[in-house]
Amino acid sequence: MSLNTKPVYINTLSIAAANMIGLEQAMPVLTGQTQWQTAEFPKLVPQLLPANERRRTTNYIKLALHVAGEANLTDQQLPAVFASSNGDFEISNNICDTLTKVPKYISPTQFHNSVHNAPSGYWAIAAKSPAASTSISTGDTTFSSGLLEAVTQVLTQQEDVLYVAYDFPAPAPLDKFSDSREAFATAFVLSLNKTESSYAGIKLDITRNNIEKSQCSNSSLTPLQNSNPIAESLPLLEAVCTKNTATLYLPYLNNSKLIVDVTQ
Amino acid sequence: MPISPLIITASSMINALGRGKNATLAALLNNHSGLQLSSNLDFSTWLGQVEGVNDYPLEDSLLTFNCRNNQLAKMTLDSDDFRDAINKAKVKYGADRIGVFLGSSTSGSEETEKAYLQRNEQGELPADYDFMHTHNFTSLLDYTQQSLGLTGVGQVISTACSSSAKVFSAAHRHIESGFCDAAIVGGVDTITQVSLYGFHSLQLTSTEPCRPCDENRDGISIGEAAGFALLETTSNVTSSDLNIMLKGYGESSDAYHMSSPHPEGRGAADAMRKALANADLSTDEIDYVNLHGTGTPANDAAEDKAVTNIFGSQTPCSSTKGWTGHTLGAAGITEALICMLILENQFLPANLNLKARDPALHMNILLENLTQENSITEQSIKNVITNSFGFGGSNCSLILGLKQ
Repeated sequence: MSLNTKPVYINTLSIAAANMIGLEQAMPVLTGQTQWQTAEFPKLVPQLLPANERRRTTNYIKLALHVAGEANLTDQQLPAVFASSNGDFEISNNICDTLTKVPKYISPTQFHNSVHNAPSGYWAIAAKSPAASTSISTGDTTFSSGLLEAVTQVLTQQEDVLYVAYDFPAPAPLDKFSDSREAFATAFVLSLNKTESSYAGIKLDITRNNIEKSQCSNSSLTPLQNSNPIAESLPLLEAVCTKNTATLYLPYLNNSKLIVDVTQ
Repeated sequence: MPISPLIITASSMINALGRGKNATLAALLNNHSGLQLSSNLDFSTWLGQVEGVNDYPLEDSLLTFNCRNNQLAKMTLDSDDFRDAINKAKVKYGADRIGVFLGSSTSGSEETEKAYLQRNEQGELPADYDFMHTHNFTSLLDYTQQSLGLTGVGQVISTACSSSAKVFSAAHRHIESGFCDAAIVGGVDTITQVSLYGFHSLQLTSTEPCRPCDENRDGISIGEAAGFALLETTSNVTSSDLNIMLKGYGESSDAYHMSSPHPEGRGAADAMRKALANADLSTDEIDYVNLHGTGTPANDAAEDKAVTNIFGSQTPCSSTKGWTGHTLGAAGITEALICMLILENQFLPANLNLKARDPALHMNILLENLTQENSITEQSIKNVITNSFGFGGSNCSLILGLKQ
């Protein structure tokens, strides 16, 4: 039995990963027609931000803004949930390196970019959105926790919510200590209202039974699934894009699984 | 849309005022600040530090989580009989039905700062450095859940200085949606070099104990703190004499600037209005505003506009950061629990360190404590609002009140 008995609909969908920048490019892979292979991740240029703000953003922030902009098709000012396991490694690396030097000078831009909600703050400026916005992490299970948070917002506030999840690989020397080796981001608009363009409905529950996490149907995506905590969303993205009903088990806290029932 | 209130049935707190709620209460009533002049920085500033954290050991089985932030978490979980209350709640609800929602801006990032100082000639970090169990935000959640033996839903919110206010909203939504039956909310933030030198580069660190709303203020005093609270629904709590409730919450974004508040306080006002709407209370039912009140001119001016816009210039207001310092990611829970102490003990704290009130501000800023000995009549403080605003324009206001 699912806890949210009313389905929540995925009404828009975006993705960014190597060789999958945007849904159009990703669709043949997510529907199993072609194989995925890795490639250098391109430089993204979020057009939504004014040039002066854009200059201050990092690759990590640009990744989040890119998928958020693509998912927010109707330019609505929606409540937003931002989820990232690790935060901005580039900023952590730069600041911690600076702190070993004399004088210890952290630039104001680096400092405000160091907060976990930097992408959310830039997004609010870009989208001119005064709506509530949160920024969360639960490490390896961050995608599931963010989805759960977004769904509770849709259910309790009865309004559409923008969900944005992203992690970007670390530069050396932090790269050896992180679970993000590929860039990956995805974003949805979640809603109680089914529209003609809805991709799927989802219902969530949690199981503590010892069930293995769902694997990608397209096995060429498995290395990507295991190279970024947010890429644990791939089995869900595949089900949604192939318009299949499915019951998926995504990693959640304390070795439990988030059960995602995907319906049409 | 009005929400169903939640009851705070247990809580614990530690900050520069001392260990436990009684230490904070005594310091507030005695006008005793916890701020001290820092002795080991490249610049002069006053800090709100917690004594004894580095010597406070984690459980042997959880040493992998060892960092100052989790040590402060453990110290606070061990305080105010909080563990006993959680053990009873586990029997009542089950370990998997109590959610854990925690805020932090720092987590254990101090470990990364230390590791960078120990890089070898190849620039590599020491082998025993462990990002995921210390710096990653989930470190605080994983440590807390394992320390308390809880296995339910949870998350860490990190939205700078609003982090541990927003945990109340997330907890409420998860309970309301049926994903847990009760929730622990909290926040833990420890002073790091990043916050010290970051605020210093913005020229926002005060050279004296911070004086929010004072004409001659010169910035913030950075502090560290932790707090936890157990939230239960009214249907699960048997009535007792005095119940403090979370009655409303409001969240908003400034959509203005990454590190400066909207000059008219637009986002701040929005958060307070939403909190009032979902507490189903009118402005004249709010008896006190606990200000975000950091002590920067931009924050004080913006918050003054927002507060006077909504409440006028009569409702008593104060910032309590002159006592604790600005505890960043722990400010939300610290000030929510100060509001709980205010409601339980029926007093209003002064805006400590205020000497000459900034004439540009129009709020009714309290110059001295109001207690039952001078002007407070019993049970006259029924509802209070507390503000937390963070970098990135992240705002959250909470309304706490007596059970009616």
